[in-house]
Amino acid sequence: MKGLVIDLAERLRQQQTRDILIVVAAVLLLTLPFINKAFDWDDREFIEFAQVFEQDPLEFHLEDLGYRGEFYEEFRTTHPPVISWYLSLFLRLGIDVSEAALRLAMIIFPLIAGVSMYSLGKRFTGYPLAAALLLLVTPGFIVTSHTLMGDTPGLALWLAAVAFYIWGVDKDSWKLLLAAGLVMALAVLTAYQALSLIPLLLFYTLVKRRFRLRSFVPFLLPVLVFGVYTLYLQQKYGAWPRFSYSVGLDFGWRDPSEKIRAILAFVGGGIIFPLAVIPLVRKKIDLLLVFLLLPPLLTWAIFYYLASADLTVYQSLWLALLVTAGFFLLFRILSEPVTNIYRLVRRRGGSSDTLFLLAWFAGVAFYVGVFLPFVSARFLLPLFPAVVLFFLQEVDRIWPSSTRARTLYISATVVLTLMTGIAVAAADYRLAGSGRSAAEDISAKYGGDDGKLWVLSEFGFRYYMQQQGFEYLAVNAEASPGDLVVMSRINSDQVLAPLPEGFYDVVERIDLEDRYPVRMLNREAGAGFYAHLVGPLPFIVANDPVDEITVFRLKWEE
Amino acid sequence: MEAMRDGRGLQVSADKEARSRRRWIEPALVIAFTLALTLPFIARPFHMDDAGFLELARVRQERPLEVALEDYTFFGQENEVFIDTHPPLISSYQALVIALAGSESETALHLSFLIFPLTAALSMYFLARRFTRYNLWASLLLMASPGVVVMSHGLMSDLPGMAMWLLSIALYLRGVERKSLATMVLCAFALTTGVFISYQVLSVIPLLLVYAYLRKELSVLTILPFVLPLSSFVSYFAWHQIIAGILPRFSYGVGEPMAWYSLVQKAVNVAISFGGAVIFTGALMRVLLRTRWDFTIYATFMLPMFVSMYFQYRAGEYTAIAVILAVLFMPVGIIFIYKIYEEIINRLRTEERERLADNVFLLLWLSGVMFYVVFLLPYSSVRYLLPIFPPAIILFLFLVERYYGLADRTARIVLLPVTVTTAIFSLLVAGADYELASANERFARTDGRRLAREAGAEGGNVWFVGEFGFRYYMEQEGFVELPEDNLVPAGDIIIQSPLADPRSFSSELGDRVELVDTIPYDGTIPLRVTNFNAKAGFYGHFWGLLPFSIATGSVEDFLVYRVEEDV
Repeated sequence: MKGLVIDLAERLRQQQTRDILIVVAAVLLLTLPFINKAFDWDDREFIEFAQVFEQDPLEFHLEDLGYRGEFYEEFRTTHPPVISWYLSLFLRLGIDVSEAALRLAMIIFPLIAGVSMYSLGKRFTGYPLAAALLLLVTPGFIVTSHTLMGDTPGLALWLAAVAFYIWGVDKDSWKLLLAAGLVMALAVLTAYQALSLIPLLLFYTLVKRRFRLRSFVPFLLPVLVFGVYTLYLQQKYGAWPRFSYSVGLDFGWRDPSEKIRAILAFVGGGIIFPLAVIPLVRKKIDLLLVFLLLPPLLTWAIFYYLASADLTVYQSLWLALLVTAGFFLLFRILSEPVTNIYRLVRRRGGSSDTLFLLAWFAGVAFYVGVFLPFVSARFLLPLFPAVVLFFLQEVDRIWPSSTRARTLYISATVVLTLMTGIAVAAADYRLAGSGRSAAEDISAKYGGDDGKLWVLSEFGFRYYMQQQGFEYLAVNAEASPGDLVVMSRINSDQVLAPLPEGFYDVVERIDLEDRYPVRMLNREAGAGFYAHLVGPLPFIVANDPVDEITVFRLKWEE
Repeated sequence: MEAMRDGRGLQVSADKEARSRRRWIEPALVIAFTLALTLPFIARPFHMDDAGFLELARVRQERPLEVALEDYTFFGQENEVFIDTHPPLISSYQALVIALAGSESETALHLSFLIFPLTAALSMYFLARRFTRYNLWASLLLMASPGVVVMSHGLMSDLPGMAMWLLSIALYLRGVERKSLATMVLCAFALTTGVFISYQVLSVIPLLLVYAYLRKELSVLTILPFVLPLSSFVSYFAWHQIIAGILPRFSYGVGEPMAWYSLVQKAVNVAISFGGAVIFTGALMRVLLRTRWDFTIYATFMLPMFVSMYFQYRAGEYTAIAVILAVLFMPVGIIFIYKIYEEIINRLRTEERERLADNVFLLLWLSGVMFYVVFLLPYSSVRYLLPIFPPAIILFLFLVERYYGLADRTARIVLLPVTVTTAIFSLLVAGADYELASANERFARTDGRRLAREAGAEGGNVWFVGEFGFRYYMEQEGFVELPEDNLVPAGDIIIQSPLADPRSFSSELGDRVELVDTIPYDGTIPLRVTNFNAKAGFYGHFWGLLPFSIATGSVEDFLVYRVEEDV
């Protein structure tokens, strides 16, 4: 008997090892092909801070920086420092700033996320490998894991902290709880959103009724670390950490409704393949409520855009599909805990796990909806694991007695989600690449121009234009008539004011076409993966030009 | 023993094979029959309200959710914003077909609309199976009836509405019977589609609710199909209010639907339509008038009708043939209604309790549609009565079962001739309707063009007065509908289709116009479906109380006026 147990444990260990190797292989397969992706979005900022930290890890500002048209003698970032600290380590080792090197360095984070999700999958579902793979292949995760930004690392550490903490509480292990505290502290300095781990994990303790001192000790570490960091910034700069660029902060009545719409669409499209959620609504009462609520929801979500001509009918159909999928997920995520609360209250069994997952989902959705300036797939990333775990729990409820049906359904969902994720990641890769190649082309064409060369854009395009010798046109710039200004529409949309009318001639307008038919950040296509202010869809099949580059020549009477 | 078992086994196997064959052959027959009655009319010119739906479909090419037409003149009234009175789905479907076909092709659009008669036919086949063993005949007879044949050649919402109505009911009854969630979900989608095709389909909801109640099956499952259409309908209302600034319109607001004379006209039209537009009258009489008592009742109803019609004939209101047809149709219609009510009440009294729900359901279906046509709709028309056809036909088959018994012979000697004569007659009626539709198109493309050339040579313009298909083809030629209060310069030509709008000119214009020509367009089939003289008002009782009539000569006399100088 003892031998049998040992044999079983050994086989379980072997299976776990095999599963972990599959997760590692999956991460490598999903990231290595994109290793040369051009820098885009906030990558530039992380690189610049890494270069500062290379000299002094406690300098949390950039000097004399033009940003979003403004000029800052002392620019403090809105991101916590861990990622730039981490990248600076590689720079200290003498590694040059290159796309491949820095992206390779970042692979550690999806690996941490995959393994942590495996651990959580084991705790919350019977499908740890599926949980890890499904998270890794979601469009939101794949795309975000190809950046230098803090979102994937933040999620990875978030997951690791949750896994350590939950196993620590369940096994009453102070080592695991201590590890959770350390990882939480690291997570908070990677992405401020990780602060919400504190109420979330406290909630876990509450629903599990494990009120022991050691369950609370881990929270001291992130609080302490964040406190020290904050006090340091206060003492050095006389200011608190910056949490936002204050972009799009409009708390008018339209803004929350747009955010809710976008959250539903991003949850519906950015996580699990949209059509895979259909079986989630299967009970009579579920269908009744869906039939009751979905038409007004779709009317509200879709027709608003159609009526205001912000979206075409085709784009609205995409939005309808994604909002419906988001609604189905949200509906299950809400209804299952309600059932469980009822069961718990009536002492008829019921699991508090769904309550914890609901709190996880709702907490992230709440802070994205209320505190963050706009909705973005990367901001929503921390709620992806909750959705994946819920989804896999639901699979058991859909086919409780058919292993074959469950396996087929999960496999099909992983494959379809993977295909969507790869398609969106490829679109992202090409979009980033278009900025890099456009910068090279423009430099080749206008590099010898008599006028001074300026760039009036942010993000990746700015990075590559500056690499080509163009200067950033901020308010303090001393530009003269005859100078050339290059602007990328996608890299200036919502963040930069256009040049004042009458002070320029348009030299050239270049539509950057791409035959690859997926768009994930494109105002004409209605897609705003990185910011819903560009469009309410996380992605869409479309062939609109990926960007528009305009070359201006400045003119005025001197 | 072994041999007996073998023999029984063979018999069971043969039965199963026959059932299986029936399962495929009969629906295939229904489809073939429906196509035979519709495909020959596939190129019919646009007719009646087709034009209104197409007008919106055209707008929806650009603005897919548009509910209003801008600067639209309708029956001479100028409207800055004209709100559609129909739900949006038919025009949107047409817009999709037009986009796919690349033009407003009659053939493409009519082909795309075949889905609706086919849906109706198959739904009736499966629905009637619950009520009668002659479900095949029920389906064939429905598709062969004059009302359905004519309406299945159009692009209006009535037949699609009836199709979704039937599909919803067929699915619901099956869903209740089998307690099938999937069937109920399909029913919810069919009902929702139906409501967005024709608002009348909303009345299916209380009907089915009563059915579930009578079966003591009220539950989440049986309420489920009603939630989606109602929620969608309310959402559409809200959206319409936000977009258009007003709630959806259900009617053009013409006439006085609740005035006593209107109620009488509509009730008479309903009775006449029952006698003439559901089943071929001769065949109906053959089945209904079997005893001396039946003939006595027939004569009793015929007499006052004859007296009334005679006076109208003497007053020049009715032609002799119109009088004969009215006197023929109305008593048959009344007897038909009487007999089916008698039959259903008899069944309610005698049949076992579990059939109660089915019988009450048919009774309510029939009575409900009659009620809203007579009391709620602005005018009566065969197309509005379409939802009554299926229960009327099922109940007719109840009568056949009672009179002739359940035998294959009954089908051969009664149902086959009834269906064949009804189908042949319906094809003639549809042919007559086709001729009128065709006359509008031919006029616009020949005489219309000629008159435009002549007027143009003298520096004048051509206006037209008329709606429907006439308007469509006149607009295709570039002519403009004459608004009621428009001041038309001297030398201009005004062409009027009296059937498409019989209005007289405004007092200012009336003194200045001179009728210069009347251009008749003849028909070969001596039947009329829309004709003031023949009193044929298939599309609305204001043309005449008969659904169709017998007449020869022109199907339409187009009037040509010249506008003179103001004296």
